[in-house]
Amino acid sequence: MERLQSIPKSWIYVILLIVLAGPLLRPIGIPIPISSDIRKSFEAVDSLAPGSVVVFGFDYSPGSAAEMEPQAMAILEHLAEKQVKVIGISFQAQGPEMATKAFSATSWAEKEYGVDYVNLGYRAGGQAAVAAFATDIPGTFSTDYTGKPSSSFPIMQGIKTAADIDMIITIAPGQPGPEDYVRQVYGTYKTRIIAGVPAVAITQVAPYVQAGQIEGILGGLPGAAEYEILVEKPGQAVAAMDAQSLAHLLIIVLIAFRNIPSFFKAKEARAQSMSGSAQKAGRGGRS
Amino acid sequence: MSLDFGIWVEGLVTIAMLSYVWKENPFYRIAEHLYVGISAGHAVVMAWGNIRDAAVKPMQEEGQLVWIIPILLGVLLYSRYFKGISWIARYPVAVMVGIGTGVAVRGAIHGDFVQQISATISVGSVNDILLLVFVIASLSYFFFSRELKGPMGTVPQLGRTVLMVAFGAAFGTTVMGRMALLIGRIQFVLGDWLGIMK
Repeated sequence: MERLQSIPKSWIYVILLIVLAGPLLRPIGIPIPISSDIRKSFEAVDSLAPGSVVVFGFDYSPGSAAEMEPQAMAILEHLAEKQVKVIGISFQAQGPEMATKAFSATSWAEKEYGVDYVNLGYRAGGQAAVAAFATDIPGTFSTDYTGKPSSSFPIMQGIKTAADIDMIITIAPGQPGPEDYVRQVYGTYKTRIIAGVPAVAITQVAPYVQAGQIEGILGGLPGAAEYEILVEKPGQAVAAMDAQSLAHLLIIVLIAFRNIPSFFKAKEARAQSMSGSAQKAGRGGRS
Repeated sequence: MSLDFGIWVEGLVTIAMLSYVWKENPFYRIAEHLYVGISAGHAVVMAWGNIRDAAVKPMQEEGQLVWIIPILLGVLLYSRYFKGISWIARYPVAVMVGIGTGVAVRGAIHGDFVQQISATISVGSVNDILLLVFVIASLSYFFFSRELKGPMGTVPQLGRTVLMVAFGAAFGTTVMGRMALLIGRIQFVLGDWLGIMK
């Protein structure tokens, strides 16, 4: 039992590597059920009429791209299919590069820049910048990512405030993120919001979904995988789900290995102390 | 295997960063310093781009002289590096704190208080009832004015249990997130770099 508690760290790393790499090389095909949250998000995007204007917040960086990028790509594919117009913005310094990569890796690469979509780049200021964006979009994002005036693009004609936007989709692992859009945009303009967040942020953003301030939420890699299935374009996230599921199983087994011996040891110690106190009480009774 | 130089750099840096699990080594240190240096350089370029597009251009091209005020306040921030006039930096900091607090509080009152409380007390399903009970129980755990005893004492105990479940869920999702990041790197190494993943 004690040997189970002292598995060397290096063994754990090797086992984890095998468990993660194995299913990536030879997929098992563990079923991926669609959760109600993802279905709601999909239906919200699906309800957009052709020509609607969506602001897409690329509020993530390469550090969180493994979780966030598959979400962004899956939703972008859906938006392309719905023939809506997409205004890409970012309140995260490395977001504009992520936007460029996502647009070029999806069906948007075949669409016309400035007419169907635009990348307006990054604006500093966190929540204050989100507030400024809500009240004056062309003023806050006066140029696109390459420095051309944003007003020169046909897609920006008639876009003044968040009231002129049909939906905001933000893919954000931290701040500024969905909460800031709720506080600064939804409160005043009631613009529909869909949020893509990392797994760790699901519990933070869930209350806003419960309250109806955010219409739909995609959480982590499983959220992206489910969305990829709904748009019928299985990609990076679907491919990763076998590995993700097996990794969780491994962690459960490791937690059990580490704790079951302690549990039995504690039980044994308790039984010993009880029998010891019973003997003492017995001796006390005879004397 | 990829022949792209960029992919090779990304692959080698990934291996260098992951080598830390073996032990601290020079390859890890090089990759770490590269990351810090490039991130800092990128942040400076993006910050300058913001100042240029949001303030300098409108001032030069459209004559919007009002942008002199935020530029001046920004420059005054650097006075902290000069003894004798470092006190001047307090004024731009005060402006930033004032605006930041005002913007945050305005949004939070409606988004985080009014709408959240309204949604919590609107009971329409079993889930809503559970949510309301657990919110009250959790809040009672942080009620320090008077110790709740007897049957009332079970309420904060329930709150403690609810908080433990929430912490467990948060930890579980953290593990899930970290695994996703590692999977992303393995996908890159096996797929984009080595080309052995379909």
